[in-house]
Amino acid sequence: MLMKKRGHTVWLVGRLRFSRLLLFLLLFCSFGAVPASAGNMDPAALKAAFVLNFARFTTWPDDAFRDDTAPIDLHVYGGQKTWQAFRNIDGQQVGTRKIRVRLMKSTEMVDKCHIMFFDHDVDRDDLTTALAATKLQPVLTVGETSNFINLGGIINLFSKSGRLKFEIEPSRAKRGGLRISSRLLKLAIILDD
Amino acid sequence: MTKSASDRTLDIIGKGLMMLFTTFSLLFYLSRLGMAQTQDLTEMSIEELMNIQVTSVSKKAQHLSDSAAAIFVITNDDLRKSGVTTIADALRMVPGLNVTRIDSNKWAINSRSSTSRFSDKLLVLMDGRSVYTNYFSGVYWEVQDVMLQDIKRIEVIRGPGATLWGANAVNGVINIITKSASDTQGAFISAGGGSIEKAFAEARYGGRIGTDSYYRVYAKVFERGEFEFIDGEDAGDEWGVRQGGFRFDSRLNASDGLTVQGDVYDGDIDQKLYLPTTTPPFISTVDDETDVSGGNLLGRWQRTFSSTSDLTLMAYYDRSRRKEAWTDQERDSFDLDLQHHFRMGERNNIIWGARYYWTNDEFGNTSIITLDPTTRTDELFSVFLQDEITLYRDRLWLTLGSKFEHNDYTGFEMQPSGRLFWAAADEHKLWAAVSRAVRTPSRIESDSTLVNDVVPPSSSSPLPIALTLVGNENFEAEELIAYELGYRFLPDPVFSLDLALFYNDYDNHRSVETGTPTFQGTYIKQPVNLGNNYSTHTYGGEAAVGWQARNWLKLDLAYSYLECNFEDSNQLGRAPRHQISLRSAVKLHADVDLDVWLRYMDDATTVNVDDADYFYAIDDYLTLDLRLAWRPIPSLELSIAGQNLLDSNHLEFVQEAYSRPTEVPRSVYAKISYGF
Repeated sequence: MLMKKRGHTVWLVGRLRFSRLLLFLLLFCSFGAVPASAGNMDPAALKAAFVLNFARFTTWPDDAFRDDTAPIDLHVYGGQKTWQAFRNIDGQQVGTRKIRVRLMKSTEMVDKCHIMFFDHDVDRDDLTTALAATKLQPVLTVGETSNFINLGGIINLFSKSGRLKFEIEPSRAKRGGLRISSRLLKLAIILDD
Repeated sequence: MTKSASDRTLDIIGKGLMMLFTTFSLLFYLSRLGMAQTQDLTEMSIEELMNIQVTSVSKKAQHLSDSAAAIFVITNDDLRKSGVTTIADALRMVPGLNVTRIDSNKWAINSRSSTSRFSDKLLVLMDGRSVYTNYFSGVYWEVQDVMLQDIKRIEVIRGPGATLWGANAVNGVINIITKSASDTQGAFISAGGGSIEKAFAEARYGGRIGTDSYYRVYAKVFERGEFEFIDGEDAGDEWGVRQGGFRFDSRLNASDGLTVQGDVYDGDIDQKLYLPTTTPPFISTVDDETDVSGGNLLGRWQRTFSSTSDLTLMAYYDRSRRKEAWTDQERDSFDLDLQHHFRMGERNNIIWGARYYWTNDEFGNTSIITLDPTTRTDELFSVFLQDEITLYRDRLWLTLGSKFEHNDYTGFEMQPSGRLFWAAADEHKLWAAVSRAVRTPSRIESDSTLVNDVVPPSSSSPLPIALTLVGNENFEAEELIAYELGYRFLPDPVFSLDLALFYNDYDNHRSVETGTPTFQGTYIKQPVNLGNNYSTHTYGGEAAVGWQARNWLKLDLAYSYLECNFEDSNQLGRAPRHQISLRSAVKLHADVDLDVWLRYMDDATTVNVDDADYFYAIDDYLTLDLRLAWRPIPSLELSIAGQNLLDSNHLEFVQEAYSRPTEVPRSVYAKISYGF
């Protein structure tokens, strides 16, 4: 390999200087570690924040709750990362109510709830069953798979040009007795049957 | 550069930096008092949430690992840490790319092939705008620039990409993608200087208009110093460019997005030219001052119909001018491009598009090159259709497609491809592809008369002989059929291995034949006629390994093996067989980065008319770049970078003609960046 002797010695001299500089730097910086900045945004946490906002812009029929302060039940179907992210919105205030998050293992036990979130790892057959069961019910179904709306879901999250967007099928929400605010609809891509 | 001079430079920079560090140490402690807290997503409005960028590391990795092509991405972080100051030099970290610097202001870059400044088959796009010039089928790398800080990523695809991108995406495609204006908000300034990077400064400001529209404006200037010829004489190739531009991004409503962007530049590029003449002394030395200038304006409208259907319409206008001693040219281009993507049923993911491209050039003839006609307008029409068919859900995909295009040189061209992708397991992914791509003739190949060299009178000929390349209107498209295989191993988020193998079958490749000499009074014109009578094959493989070994240490290895020898065509040389790039990013402290970049390039040959046996042998070389950066506060970065440190000089490439071998020297620079 090519390494002319002259070049090599210069490099050594350079390295000595670099190492001195380095030492100097380390001394300066070793007084205390600064916490690392937020770094990359966790996509699951962002989706949980979206779902929280969807709850804020949705009105359920009165008979969907026991009373004015009864919690909004949110059932989350998915993997560990999704669960972790949604755990953080548990107890968040939405009007007079609080969000109550339940992490679900399987769609078999479809208890009464107000919002369901399915992450992209949910089994296709389970998803189809769950969406069929909530048809005409006041349940806001939110997903993140390309055929979520086709399978009967109401809101689907997807990323486009590095941002999260969402598509809504408003007529389906209406049939279940849900009212979605115009502010949310204005930000959504509206799909019609 | 001599030993003492380089030593002094380091010394001065070192001392200067220490003074800076002392000054900013105060800021360092102040900054710790007011560290920004992590944003609480749950407190944000939905409008704010919709503006948050979601390209997380895992997402990107997934996108890459699921593509049935040999793709490599240079991120913004890679660019910053590499310490490079040009887009061209950044490409050295990509496996399979053959990147060489000819002199201070020229590069020859190719993918999976021998390289040349004047003839390659590599398509380069900046935000969708083609910067490939039809003049000589290559790229003037020295004028392809933007603020590196504002580049989101550079996607490099080795192998044909012609089905989507069309003709000339033969050996590869490079997509340089800049950030959305919403991701470059606030002010950013950066300045510095050093031994070759004499002085540079850049500034950008980004702001918001209303709730959903963002803009940025930027300006940058630099002056780069000269290199040395192989005998130590100054190469007279210093240069400087001034450039400015803007980008505007607006979300018109939930489904429509609009981008408008543009750049203008103006530069002075010096070079020492050795131009052949038919009168004694048969060579004229010119200290040339090349004027380059240009600009572009691009608009892109994107409509999202649903999560499974969207449409993009793009149009741009580009103008460039270049005046040097042997070539004088002006070019205007207009491009209109439509793409529609939609899912059909459960299995089909379809993308189709149509393109219209118009280009007009104007040449001033010189003693070296004459074009007939001097002005020419060319049009190109194309459509493509590609379907990604799911054969087995989440496991097996087949992508079939083809481009159909019509150009004014060779007429109709079809460029199909078939790609199969198999996700054998979450951590094992395999792909295979067969594709056809063509390179359409350049203006030089079709319409020029170009004096390559003049042989002085000798015992065998009393008159000088002018070796003259004669263009051929019937020159055909060069053709490649490529066979590729790939494998990716992704055992966990901190490790990735990407392997690619290829066999390239070139046909109809450019060849030269000596024509009948004609007597021109004072000299003999020896025509060199262009033909399409060469065919060859090349093969090789590339490996890219990314490993976050510790939370403070990231290693990136790229190895390329290439069997590629075009010497028999007399048009290109032999490519380097082995090539290695090893980057290590060391986080010495939360605020201190040390980046080490070791590169090895095997020996190669290149065509050179001045060489007795027509080929110039280039030795292998090993070199090292180092960068040390300190952020006393998150918005301020001080850095020093040393490039090509292992040797005072090394040779990477020699231009075919009109030049002398110029070596790339060791260099060092310091830089300060501040964003607020």
